[in-house]
Amino acid sequence: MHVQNVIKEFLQERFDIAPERITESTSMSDVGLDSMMMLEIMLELEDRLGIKLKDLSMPANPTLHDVVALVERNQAAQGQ
Amino acid sequence: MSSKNRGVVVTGLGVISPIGLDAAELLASLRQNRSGIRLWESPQLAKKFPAGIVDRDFSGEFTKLELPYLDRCSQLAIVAARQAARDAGLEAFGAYAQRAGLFYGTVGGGVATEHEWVRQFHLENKQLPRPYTIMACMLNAAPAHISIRHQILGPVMTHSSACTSSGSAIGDAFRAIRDGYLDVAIAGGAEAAMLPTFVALWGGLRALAEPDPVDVSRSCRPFSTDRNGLVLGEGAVFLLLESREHASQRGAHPYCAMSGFGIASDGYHIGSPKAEGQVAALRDALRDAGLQAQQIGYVNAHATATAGGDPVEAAALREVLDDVPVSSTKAIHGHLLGAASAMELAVAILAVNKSLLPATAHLDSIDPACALNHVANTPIFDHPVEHALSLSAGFGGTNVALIVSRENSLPSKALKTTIA
Repeated sequence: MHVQNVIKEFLQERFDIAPERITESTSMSDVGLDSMMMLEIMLELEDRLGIKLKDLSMPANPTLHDVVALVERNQAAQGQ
Repeated sequence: MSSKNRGVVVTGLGVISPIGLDAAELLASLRQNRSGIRLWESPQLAKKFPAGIVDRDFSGEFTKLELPYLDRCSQLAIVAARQAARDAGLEAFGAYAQRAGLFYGTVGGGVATEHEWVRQFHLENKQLPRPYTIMACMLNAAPAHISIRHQILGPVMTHSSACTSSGSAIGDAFRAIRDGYLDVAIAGGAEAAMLPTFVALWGGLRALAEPDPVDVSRSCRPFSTDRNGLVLGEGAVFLLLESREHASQRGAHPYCAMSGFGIASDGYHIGSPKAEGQVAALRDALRDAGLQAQQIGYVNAHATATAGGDPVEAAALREVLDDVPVSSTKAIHGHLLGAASAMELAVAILAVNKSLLPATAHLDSIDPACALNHVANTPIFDHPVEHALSLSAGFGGTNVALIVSRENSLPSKALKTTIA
């Protein structure tokens, strides 16, 4: 499944955040996610995608696009 | 800075308890002496226990983004503190900056969340919990959430002295306002620890009551010859305290005045009370309020219904407060631990506000070792109470006495009553 859809699905399941509220440019803080919840999302993505996120660098106040980019960067580094 | 020795009044009450989900419901239960004690069981425990359960799930009050941080203890505390603030007509405190405070007592805090993590660690071999788990476990999680929601920017304090936790919290809030450090404070406590591991911890003491074989609601019998132990409960109770001057300026009407706080420690034993410490707390409170013993019209006793504790307290009360009407409402709500003192002070406030002497339920046979002027079985109505006292005694030896009084300066508000 596309990384973006995995994230949206998880946000809906866990936090009742409707997928239509989030576009690529929506910042995670705009939908109420704080730094600890971002960490929770990273841990969940590791489980759901079967990867290890070694590079966790993201801009301040990351958007959905930034999270997807982070995951794809880690996937590429791990040859997935 | 304001002057010292300012009058302090109670303008808001928030109650989430086994005998009422607000102050009006609590009053109705006290009038009917209706017990909230029922049977509690867990598939992990062979024995069943009587308990004071708050039969409502409050998770629906919060979003899924909030809930991971909120143990049930914090949920109860947030709801009860909000009730107290709304009742006083004062919900946002940011403009007070450091002159608004929050004083909170608990015993277990987020113990349910903590024990669930311990289970995952040992049984599921988890190496790390979720990121927010530690935030949900902390003893000060609930007051932190309340301070964030209501923008309480002064002292946000957590007291933990076993069964006196919320009493010492309320006492310190009272002092901070009276002595001019604060204008307004939310003060109280919360407990939500009805989980098998925590109940079993108490079971280890061999001091928990057996369920009454005929009527489980009669299982907690303070001062009675056939008492057989304490009954655990859960709940959250908060007061909104403010200086009389501040209440007057904003046109708020108090339920009563807060007039005395006494605190003393036994210095004796980790788990056995000593009458001398309770006597010292009682005398300290009377001195603090500038009252003589005979001026107290009602005492809500700590009386947990243990074999050893009740006679010690009765001796202390006899020594200081000769012949004052006494009851223990734990018979109908159980022992709320971190919320116990606040719950029982709320009962004392209603006694003053509604001219009511609440009764000790199930007190058909008074233990001679607990001889006092008992209000037994039947509440007494239309009995003016000028000053009421609540005494609490905690494991570890901390004793707290709090005195509330009829408000004679400002127009007081009578608690609105629900149709019972």
